[in-house]
Amino acid sequence: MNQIKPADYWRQSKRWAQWLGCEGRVIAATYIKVAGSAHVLAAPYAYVVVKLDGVKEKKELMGVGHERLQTGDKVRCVLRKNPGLDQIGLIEYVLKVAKI
Amino acid sequence: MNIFVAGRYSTKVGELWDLSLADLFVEAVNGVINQAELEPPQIEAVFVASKAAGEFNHQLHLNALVSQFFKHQPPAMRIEGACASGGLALIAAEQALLSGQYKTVLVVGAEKMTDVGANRATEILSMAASDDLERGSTFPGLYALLAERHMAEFGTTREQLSAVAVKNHRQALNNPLAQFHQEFNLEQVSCSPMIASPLRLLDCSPISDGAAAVILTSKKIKNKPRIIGFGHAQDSLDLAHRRTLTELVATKRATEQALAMAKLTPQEISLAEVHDCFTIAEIFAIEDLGFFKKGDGGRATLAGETAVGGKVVVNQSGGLKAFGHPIGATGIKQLVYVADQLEQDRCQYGLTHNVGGSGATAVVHILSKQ
Amino acid sequence: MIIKKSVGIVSYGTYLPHWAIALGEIEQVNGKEIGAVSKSLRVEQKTVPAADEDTATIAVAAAQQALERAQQASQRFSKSKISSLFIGSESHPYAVKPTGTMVAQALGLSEELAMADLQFACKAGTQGMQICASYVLSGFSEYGLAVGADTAQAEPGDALEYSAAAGGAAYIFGKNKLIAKLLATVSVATDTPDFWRRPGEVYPQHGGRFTGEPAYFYHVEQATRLLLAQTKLRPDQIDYCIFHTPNGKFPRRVAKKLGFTQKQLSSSLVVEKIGNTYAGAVPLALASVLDQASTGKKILVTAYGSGAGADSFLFETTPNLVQQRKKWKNLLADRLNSLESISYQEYSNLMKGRYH
Repeated sequence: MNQIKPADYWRQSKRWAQWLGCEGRVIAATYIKVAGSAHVLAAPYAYVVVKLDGVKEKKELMGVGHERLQTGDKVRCVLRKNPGLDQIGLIEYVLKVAKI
Repeated sequence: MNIFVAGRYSTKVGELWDLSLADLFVEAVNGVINQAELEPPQIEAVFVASKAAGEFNHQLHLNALVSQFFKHQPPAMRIEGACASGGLALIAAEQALLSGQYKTVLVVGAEKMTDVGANRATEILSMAASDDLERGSTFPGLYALLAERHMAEFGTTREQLSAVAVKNHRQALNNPLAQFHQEFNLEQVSCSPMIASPLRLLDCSPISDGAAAVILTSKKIKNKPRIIGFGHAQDSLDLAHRRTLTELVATKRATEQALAMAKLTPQEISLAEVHDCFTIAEIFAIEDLGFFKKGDGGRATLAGETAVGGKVVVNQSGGLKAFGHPIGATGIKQLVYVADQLEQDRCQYGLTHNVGGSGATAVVHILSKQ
Repeated sequence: MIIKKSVGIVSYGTYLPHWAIALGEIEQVNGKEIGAVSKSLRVEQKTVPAADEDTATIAVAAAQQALERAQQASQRFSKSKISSLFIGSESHPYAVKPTGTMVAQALGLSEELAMADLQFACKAGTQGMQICASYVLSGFSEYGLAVGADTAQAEPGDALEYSAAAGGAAYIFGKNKLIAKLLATVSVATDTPDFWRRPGEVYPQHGGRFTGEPAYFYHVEQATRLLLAQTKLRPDQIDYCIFHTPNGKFPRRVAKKLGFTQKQLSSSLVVEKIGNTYAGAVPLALASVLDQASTGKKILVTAYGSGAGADSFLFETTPNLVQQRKKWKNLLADRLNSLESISYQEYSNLMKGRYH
C-alpha cells in the first residue's frame, strides 16, 4: 500500500501555510482519468499548471475532487487529503486548487 | 572523430513473458557480439542503460550483472536518465572512446516492464517527473499539458495527433521486431479511451519488454556506419520551471550540438527515429529538431510529409508507439535501426532523438554511411 | 454563568462541501414514498463530502475564512497571537493524532499553542467555543480558535442516513473588536446513552425514539432554562434562538416548548438545505444568523451532544459585525447557492470509498 513516510509528511506539511489561500490562474490543464497507484481513488482529477498572483514561479497542482479545470480559470489553493484504502498509515494531505 | 557502429542488435519488443530482465540482457549482448563478428574479450568496457529495474524487477547493480556475462568481466557502469537512459549510455560510451581510455565498448539497454500491473507501471513511470513539485502527475498527464498548449497556441488538431499513431503503426508492419503489427485509422485513434485529456489510449506508447545493444569502436572499420555528431542537453525536471510549454528546449539545444558536430542542416537528413512516447511528442520533436517550423508539425504529419516518400521519414521502425518502448533500451534500439538502414544503403544520413521525462533530458545522434 | 469582562467572537468562517444529495434520492432507493421522510424530518437535502475531503480539510477551510476576515478587520490582529485551538468532531481522521495539529500547521499558527481534539457528539464544537472563551477570559490566550466540523457517518438504510452530512464552522474568540459579545454561558451533562460509537466501528448506534425526550429535549431545555434563569431573561427579550439541528423538526418543537417563536428560530434552520452536520451544526446555524443579524441583537444558542449534554450561550451583536460584513465574500447563503446535486449512485460510490 502506498503510505507516506512520517519524515516526508512532516517536510511537506511545513510548506502548506505558505500557499494556502493563494489565488491565481490556470495556464495549462489536463484531466487525468488513469492515475498511478498512489492516486487511484482520487481519479479522475484535473492536473494543471498555475500562475499564482504575486509569485514568479509557476506551480503544478491537482484540482480538487473531480472538478474540471480549463486554461484561464481563476483558482485558489486549498488543502485536501489524498484518498486511499489504507486504514493504517498516515493520511497524506495535498495542496490542490479549486475554481473560484 | 571516428566512432563506428561495429555491431548492432535489437530483441523483439513486446510482452515477452518467457524472458526475465537478465534473459533480455543476455540475448542482446550475445546478439550484438555475434553480429559484430567480434570476440568477447575485445569488449573493453560496458555501458548499461535501464530506467527502473529497481522498481520493475527489484534489481539494481546492473553493471555488475552484465559484466558477469563476460569471462574477462570488463569494467561496467549503469546510466539512468529516465527514458533517455539509452541515449545517455551512448553519450557516456562516446566520451570514453573520445578520451582514448577505451577503443571498443559495448552499450546495452533493457527494460522488463510487463511483470507489474498497469497502475503500478503508471506509478513507476511517473518517477521520471519531480516527486516534490509534480505530485499527482502521471506521465501521460504531463504530455497532455504540452498537447493542450500546442493545440491552443498553434491549432494542432485531434486528427493531426491521430495521424502520428496511424503512420507509425502502418510503418511498423515492415518491422518484424515491432511490438504491434496492427494498423489503425484516424477515427479509431481519435475515439480510443481517454487517458489524460486530450491524450487517448492510442496516443500513448505501450508498456514493453525489450533490449538493444551496439558495439562502438574508435578503430577504423570498413562498411560500417559512423556516428558523426551527438548532442546532449537538459531542461528543468518539472514543467512549471520551463520557459515554454510549446517547445522542448532540451531537444533544440541537443540538436544544435549534433548538427554542428556533423556539419549538417536538418534538411540534409532524410531518416529520423524520434521519441514519440506520445503522439504529441513526435509533433514537438519534428519541430524542435528543425525539420518543420514551430506549430507546423501536426499539419505536416497529416499531409504525409513524414511518412515513407515524404520530406523526412520519421519513425519508419514504428517508433516508440508501434515498435515499442522498453525504456532503457529505446535510445539504443533507435540507433540500431538507423545503423541498419544505413548499412542497407537506404539513406545517406540518419538521426536518432531520445528524451527523458517530459523533456528534461534530450540526446540526439547523427549517423552517416561510412 | 454571567460574564462580566469583555470576551466574544472576533471573526468566524464556514465551509460546506460542493455537493448535496436530495432526500428524495435516498427515499427512492430505500423504497419509501418520495417526500415522506423529507417532510417528516423537514430536511430537503444534505451535503456530501468529496473523496479528498475530511474533517481536517473542512476545519482548515472554515478557519482560513475566519482568519482572512479577522485580518481584514484589524491590522493589529495576527494569527500568531492565537494560542489555543480546539476542534470538536465525531469524525476526527485519527483515533490518536489530533486534527488540531494538522489544522494549526496548515494555517501557519504559532507553535505556542494549547490544543486538544474534543469529542462530545454534536456539541464538541460548541464546547470548544466555550473553552476558547475561557482561555481568553483567564488571560491564557489573546485569541482562541474553535472549530466544529464533521463528515458524518451513517449506515446505508438506517434512519440517520437521511440527515448525516458534512460541513463546519470556525470561531475566533478574543476580547477586543468583537462582532458578538458573549454575555453568558452554561453547560449540562448526564450519562444518557442515546447515541454512541465504539472504537473500530464505522457507524454509530442510536436508541431510536430514546434519542428524543430523555436525550435531546431534556438537555436542550435544561441548559436553556438555566441560562435564562441566570441572565434573568424571558424568551421574548431575545431576538434570535438557535437550537441544535439533528433535523428541522426537533429545533422547531423545542423552541415552541421553551416559549420561543418560529420567527426567532427561522434564520438558523440551514439544516433544511444541508442536513445535520453534527459538530458543525450549531456553529453553522450561528453563522447563518450572524450573516444577517443587525447591531445590538441578542442571540441564544443551545447545542446538544448525544451521550449527553448541552452548551448554552447568550451573544449580543455589535456595530462591528454590520461594519465588517460589508466586505465579506462567501456568506453561508452563497455557499448554499453553489451546492450541486448528485445522484444516489454517485453518493453511494463516494460513501463506499470513505468507509469501505
